[in-house]
Amino acid sequence: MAEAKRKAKKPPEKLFNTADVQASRSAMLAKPNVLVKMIKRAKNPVLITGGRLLEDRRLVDYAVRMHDSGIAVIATGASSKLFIERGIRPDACVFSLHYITQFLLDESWQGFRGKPYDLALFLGFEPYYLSRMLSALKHFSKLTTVSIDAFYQPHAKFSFPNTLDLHHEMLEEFVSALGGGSIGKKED
Amino acid sequence: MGFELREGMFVLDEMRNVNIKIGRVIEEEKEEKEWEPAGPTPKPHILDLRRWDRKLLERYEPIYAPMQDFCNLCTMGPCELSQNKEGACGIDLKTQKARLVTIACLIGASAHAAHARHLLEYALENFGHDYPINLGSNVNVEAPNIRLVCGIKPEKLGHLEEVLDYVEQGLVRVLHTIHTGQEEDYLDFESKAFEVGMLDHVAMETADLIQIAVFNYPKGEPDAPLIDIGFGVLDTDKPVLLVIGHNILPARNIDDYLREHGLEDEVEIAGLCCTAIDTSRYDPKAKIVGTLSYELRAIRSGIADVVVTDEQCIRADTLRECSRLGIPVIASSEAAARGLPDRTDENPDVIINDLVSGRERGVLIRDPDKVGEIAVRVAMEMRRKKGRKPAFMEDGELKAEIAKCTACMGCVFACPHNLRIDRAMSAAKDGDFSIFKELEGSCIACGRCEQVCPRDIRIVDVIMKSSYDSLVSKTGKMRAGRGPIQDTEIRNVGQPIVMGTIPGVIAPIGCPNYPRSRKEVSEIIEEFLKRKYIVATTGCHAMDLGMYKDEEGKSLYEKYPGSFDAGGLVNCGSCVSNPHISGAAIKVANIFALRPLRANYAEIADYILNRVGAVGLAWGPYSQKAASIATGFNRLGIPAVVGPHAAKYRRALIGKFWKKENWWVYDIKSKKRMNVEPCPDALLVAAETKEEAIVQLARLCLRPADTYMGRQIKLTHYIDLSKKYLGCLPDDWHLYVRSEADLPLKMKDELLKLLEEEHDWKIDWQKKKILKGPIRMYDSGFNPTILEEVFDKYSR
Ligand code: SF4
Ligand code: SF4
Ligand code: SF4
Repeated sequence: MAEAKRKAKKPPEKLFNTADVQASRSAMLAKPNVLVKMIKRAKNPVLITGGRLLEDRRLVDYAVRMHDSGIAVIATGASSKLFIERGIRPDACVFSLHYITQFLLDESWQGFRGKPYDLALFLGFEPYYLSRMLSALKHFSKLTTVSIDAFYQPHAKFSFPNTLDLHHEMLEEFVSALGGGSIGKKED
Repeated sequence: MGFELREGMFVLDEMRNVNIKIGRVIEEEKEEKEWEPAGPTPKPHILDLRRWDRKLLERYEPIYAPMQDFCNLCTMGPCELSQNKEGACGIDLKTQKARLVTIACLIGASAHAAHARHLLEYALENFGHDYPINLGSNVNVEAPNIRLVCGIKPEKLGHLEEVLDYVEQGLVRVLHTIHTGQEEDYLDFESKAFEVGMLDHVAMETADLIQIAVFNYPKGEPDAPLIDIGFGVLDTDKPVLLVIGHNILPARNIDDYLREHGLEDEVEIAGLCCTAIDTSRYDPKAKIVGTLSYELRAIRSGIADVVVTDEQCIRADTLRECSRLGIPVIASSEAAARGLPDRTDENPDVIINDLVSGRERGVLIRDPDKVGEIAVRVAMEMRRKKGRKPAFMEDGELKAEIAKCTACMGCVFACPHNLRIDRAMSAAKDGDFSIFKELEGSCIACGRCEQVCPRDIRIVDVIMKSSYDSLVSKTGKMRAGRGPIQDTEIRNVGQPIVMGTIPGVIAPIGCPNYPRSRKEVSEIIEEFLKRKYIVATTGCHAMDLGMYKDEEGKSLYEKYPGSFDAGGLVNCGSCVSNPHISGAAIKVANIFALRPLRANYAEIADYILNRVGAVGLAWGPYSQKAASIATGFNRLGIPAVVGPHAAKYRRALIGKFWKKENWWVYDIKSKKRMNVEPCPDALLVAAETKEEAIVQLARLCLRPADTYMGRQIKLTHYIDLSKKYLGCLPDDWHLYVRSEADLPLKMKDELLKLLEEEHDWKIDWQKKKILKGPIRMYDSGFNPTILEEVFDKYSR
């Protein structure tokens, strides 16, 4: 482990698959403390988790801490099992990210618990799959999308830079800054 | 005076300058009329099924995930379309994406239509117009898609000309609508994509009927022979002939040549992709290396003495890669001439000499019947001249390649899976190859990493070398593609499928662009085989299902019977065999339910959507053919779960369970329009992990017409799988409960309690009966349709 850390290298911040090009904006880099402020301002933020949680249990730790700070969780890619093992019942378990994206695109959707989501954080996805879903949300919805994955996601509104081996450190910084609190409890 | 018309040209006396040309003599009008009265849509025109499409699209709303937000199809552009802006021609982003989906389907369907045309031209020339299409006594409905769409019952090869004429015209009609300045509603493009998907199934069915009829492939036999598959099955002490592609014709000629010259045991034919599958249907001794993802590996490994390519899914660097290793290439298709000189009409001796001496890197031979001799003789002479090739990479070379890596990560960002090659390289420098070994399972050997590596490292070779032992020891068994599902099988399973007591038909089909290890597709499928679903497969998935073995060394084909029955694993064959799967669903409606088949598309599709719990699984789709195949299934009311790469097809069809107004049917029994459970709730949707795919497949098998016994069985599996893989009850299970009899027996009390507590349903606890809550109450005579005309027809 120490060996791996020693070798961990900083990848280029904003590189993504170079052929996944769009004419419109690419994501602004999300600094952990700015992100925390954004989340605290949101009315009903939600964390959407993907299949990579099955391979990287530390992502589950961070997701649980985000949940504990008051952010709702939608688990996809079978990541729900890991939350349930820790006594957390996500808002939804059975719908894949494709379904969730379709639902989020519909302004009339009231979320899984009767309240629309206004900010979505994405963690633990195949980069190319998340990229497409973020592209759908960018072009056809007003939702604020934030990728907190290991790879920079140009089609999100905000994204972590490429962190790869330094991903956990970035998440630690973000989740610590998030702390406990009153996220998502604001009224209209 | 009797007067017989024949094809040809003649001149009538007294009418100088008048030539009468008789193209095709239509002799069977009478016969055609007799087999079944024609339904409402024979050879439907581009707009004839639009109303059906709109019904589907209202429920299963397209979701667009643009790859690009600009368009540069014409010179008024390029146009920036982000946030659904309009381009210079007025088209918006959504409609532009639907247009691209239609183009993708057109490419795929055209590949199959041209393939069918190649086969038909060959078969007519060599076997004649009157050669019978006979699939044996167990298959009377020989061409369900052709009968359904065209209203034609093909009995002879010649009858298929009319079918292909129709398909080709249809494709051109749709292609013309792509031109700038036409459709402005994305749903109209989606309807056209559906049209193309439907035509694709007709084209594929035509292609497979021809090969089965004239090459005597298995005709629906459940115990078709087991074929050797995997890198390890090749005897590389013999000359090796590698055939790649999808069209059997050149490979068949090679096989014939070997047999005719007593060389079967002297030369190895190794196939890649569907050519391999179809060769093994022709000759069970043919060996299969594997899928598309083995192409570069097979070439780079140097095992081949000659490479023969035909059409579709062949790497566009085949000649370059082969030339680097001194392997001659024989191209045989108009689809891929590879810049090679056309030597079709030359003396084989001269051609062989040129190839073996290296004077030519390769040749184009357009006549498949000439490929056999040349390919076999070149392979044998190459081997004589060069001997057995040395290993493609020595240990020293491997070390040297690895040492060059600077961990710049360029490859990581080029790789479609973002595989951490940098990390694997760095571990390998310390002698640890485990990361490379692990990575090999997900690497599709596309070579994109090599294109960007600043140190020119042969990354694909490094990965292959690091796991070479496991690669060359890979051996498996695949049941030969058996073609159609027998009518007798449909008679046996029709009722349990429609009742739901056989919980579903799962159809793993398509390409090997998997999200992770190739093994996963076997793992997904075995879960359903154990649970007595029917599994019917084709193409690369059929091959990969044979590639993995359990602890006892058995592949799935050896563990499960080849019958179309509960717990059976049926390999229908290559890509063009997919219509046997759509055909099986059609036959359930026709043979079991006696719904008229001829030219009756919408009614049959409506029947399937509401009753036949069949779902496709395309876990690694990459090609445009996969797009059109899936779209054809979708129009017929059959949903598909796809792997995450399929999100790049840009659109999916996903319903919203919470929009109650979208989920309704007419019930022919009660003569009422009513709300129903949202099932199936998507026609095309991606899953990210195998665990998620398994649960999605189980839920997409639910159908409104399930009997309570069927619903109970389907729900039991759905809930069980959800608990196993997702750790909980599925969020939507209650939506599918119509009465207490639908509930899984072992969980009945627990679930009734949850219905009362969490969903406010009213329960009579003494009788353990549901009093209030379901979307609708169960009615055993429930007879759903979403088509007004079907409702009118049967409720009269
Ligand atoms: S087809 Fe339309 S959107 Fe595309 S480049 Fe031309 S004008 Fe622009
Ligand atoms: S060859 Fe393998 S490692 Fe290289 S880019 Fe393709 S999938 Fe990735
Ligand atoms: S691109 Fe080449 S040098 Fe850079 S990390 Fe990959 S293998 Fe190493």
